[in-house]
Amino acid sequence: MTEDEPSPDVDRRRTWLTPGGRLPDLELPDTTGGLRRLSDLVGGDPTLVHFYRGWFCPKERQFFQVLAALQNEAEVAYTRFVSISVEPPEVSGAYRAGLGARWTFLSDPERRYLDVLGLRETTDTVHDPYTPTCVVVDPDLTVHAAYRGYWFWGRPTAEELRHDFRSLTRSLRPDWDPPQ
Amino acid sequence: MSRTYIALLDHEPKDADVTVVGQVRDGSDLVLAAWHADRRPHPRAASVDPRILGTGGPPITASWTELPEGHRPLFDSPEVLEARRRLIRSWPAYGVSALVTDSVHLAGSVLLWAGGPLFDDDPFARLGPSRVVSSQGFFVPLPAPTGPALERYGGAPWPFDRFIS
Repeated sequence: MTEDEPSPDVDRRRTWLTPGGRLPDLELPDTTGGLRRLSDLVGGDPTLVHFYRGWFCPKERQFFQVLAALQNEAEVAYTRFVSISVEPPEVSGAYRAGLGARWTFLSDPERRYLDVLGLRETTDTVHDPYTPTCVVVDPDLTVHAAYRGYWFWGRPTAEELRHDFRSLTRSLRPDWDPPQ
Repeated sequence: MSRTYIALLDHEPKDADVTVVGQVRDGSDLVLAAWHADRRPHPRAASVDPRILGTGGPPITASWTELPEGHRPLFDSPEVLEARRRLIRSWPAYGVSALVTDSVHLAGSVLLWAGGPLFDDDPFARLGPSRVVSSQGFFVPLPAPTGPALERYGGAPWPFDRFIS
C-alpha cells in the first residue's frame, strides 16, 4: 500500500458508498447558519447529495454548471439537491448566490464528517476538503447510485443523473403509471 | 382531510382555534386567526403551510398578501413560479407560505421577515394588495425549502414539502 492509497479503515468507512448502502443522517448548518438534518432536507423525494471540494477548484466550478442547468428540470420533478463542503456558511452562501443555485448548501468547517464518511481528500493538505462524491439517495438515505469524482470523468453527467432520478422516481411513486 | 387555515380579520371570530392581535404598519390593530378544520371555516380564511404556525416564536413581522376573488393567478403561472424561485434562491425570511382556497389558484401569501431590505420587496406582494402585520405567538420560523424542487405536493400550500398519504 502506498501513501496515497486509502487504509483498510477508510475502506470500511466507505461501505455506505455503494448502491444499497445507507448515507448517515448528517446534521450541518446551511448558508443561513441554521442547523439542518439531511433526512429533513431529503423529505420524501429522490435527492442528489453532492460533496465538493470548494469554490477554489475549477473542476467544481465546471460541475456546478451541470447542476445549475439541471435544477430547472429538478424544480418541477419533485427532486432535490444538497451540496456539502468544508467551507463556512458565509462562503458557501456567496458561492451559491453566484451560481444562481436554488438548492441547499451545507457547511462542515469543523470537518465533523470527513472521516466518519471516509471522504477526506488526503492529497489536498491545503484545504483539507471532501473528496468530490455524488450519491443519489432515496427518502430513507439508501444509496441508489454513487459516483467518485476525484477524477473529473468520475462524476455523473446530467444524463446519468436523469436516468437515476427516473429509475428512483419510478420505484417511489405508486402512480408512475397514471391512474385509469 | 383536516387542513390549517388562517385569516386576517377586523373582529375576533367565535370559532377560531387561535387568535392573536396584530399591529398593522398603518397603526391599526387586526386579528390573526387560525383554525384546524376539515372545511374552510370563514369566508376570508385560506389554507396555509401548518409549519409556520406556533405559539412559542419570537415577535415576527409578516408581509400578508391577499388577492381578491377574480384576481387570483393560477398557481403555475409564470409570475407565481418566479416569486417562488426568487424566495428559494435568496431566502430573506423566517418563513413563507402560500395561501390557497382551491387546488389551482394562488389566494395570497404570508412572508415572515428576518430583517433586511428585501422585505419591502416581497415578490408575492407584487401580485396584489399586501399589508405588513407584526405579532407574537402566532407565527414561528421555518427553514428554507431544500430546492430546487418547488412544486406543490398534492395541492398543499407551498412550501409544504411532503405528499400526505
